[in-house]
Amino acid sequence: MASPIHQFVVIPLAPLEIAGIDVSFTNSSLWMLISAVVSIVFLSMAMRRKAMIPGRLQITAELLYEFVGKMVQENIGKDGRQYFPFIFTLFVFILTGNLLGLFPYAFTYTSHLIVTGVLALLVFFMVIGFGLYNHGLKFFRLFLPPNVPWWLVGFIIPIEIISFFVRPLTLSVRLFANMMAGHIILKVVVGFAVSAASMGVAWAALGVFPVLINVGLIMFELLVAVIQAYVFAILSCVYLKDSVDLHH
Amino acid sequence: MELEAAKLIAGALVTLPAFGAALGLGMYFASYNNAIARNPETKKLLDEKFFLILAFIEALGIIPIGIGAAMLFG
Repeated sequence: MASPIHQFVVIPLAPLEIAGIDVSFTNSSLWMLISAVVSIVFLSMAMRRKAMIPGRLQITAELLYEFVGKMVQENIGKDGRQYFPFIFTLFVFILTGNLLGLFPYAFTYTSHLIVTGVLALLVFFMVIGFGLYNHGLKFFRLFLPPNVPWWLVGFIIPIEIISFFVRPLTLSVRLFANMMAGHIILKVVVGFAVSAASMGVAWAALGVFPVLINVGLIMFELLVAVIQAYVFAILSCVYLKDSVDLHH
Repeated sequence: MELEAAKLIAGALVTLPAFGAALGLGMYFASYNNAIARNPETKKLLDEKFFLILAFIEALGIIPIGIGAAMLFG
């Protein structure tokens, strides 16, 4: 049985090195490109007619737009409109990555910590950058919530600092671990069917059960793919709110 | 051989948190249903954060399984 880890190996498709740095075009890059193309083509096609009475495709795109718009408005507030393009792009990028990864022979780029880590760090540095831009040094009041008793200050500030800096870690690991674990489980279960099939006709008949379990797992992974994209986006909104409104 | 046995034992032990996650999910759904049954008007309020909290609890179970699988097959 092939190792379940093998599906996560990054393979350079077009090796390229610039100034000693490996910038090869890999299978991960390819699937990111496919994801970007699929999203752009889908949204362009959906909104091409801009009909007053939308068709199914246009409704899907509008639902997606309104879903993210509502999420941004509810979690960041009216000042959050400026972040909508970023949050929408982030959500669609992660969602298409998660969903495309469920196709056979596809590569799930969100199952790599480097990818989710970079996205999480992007959000983290945006919070710090916009926070300092909007509030100046008063941004650091974030680490001392209002109405904290004086005798708790020395205890609360380190906890707040740690919880702030641990955000990119939890954000990235949550998505990465969910995707990686899900795909490993899919591969392991289907491996049972392959092993059973290789052991003879009688065992091959029993191999149907792992396939049926995998059908259920694929449905579960579809749900996880959507939920994890939503969780990443909504937590990004919650973190970005700190750059808009220091204490909420 | 001992290393392989240790890996198998470690990989099995690291899946134990799935019990906690399963318990947490069950309690979460029970509380959610209970709250809506007692006061249907709170459904909209509860639905807003439903999937977010679900994902948090589920992640605590799936992350150790991923680590266990990585330890076993890595």
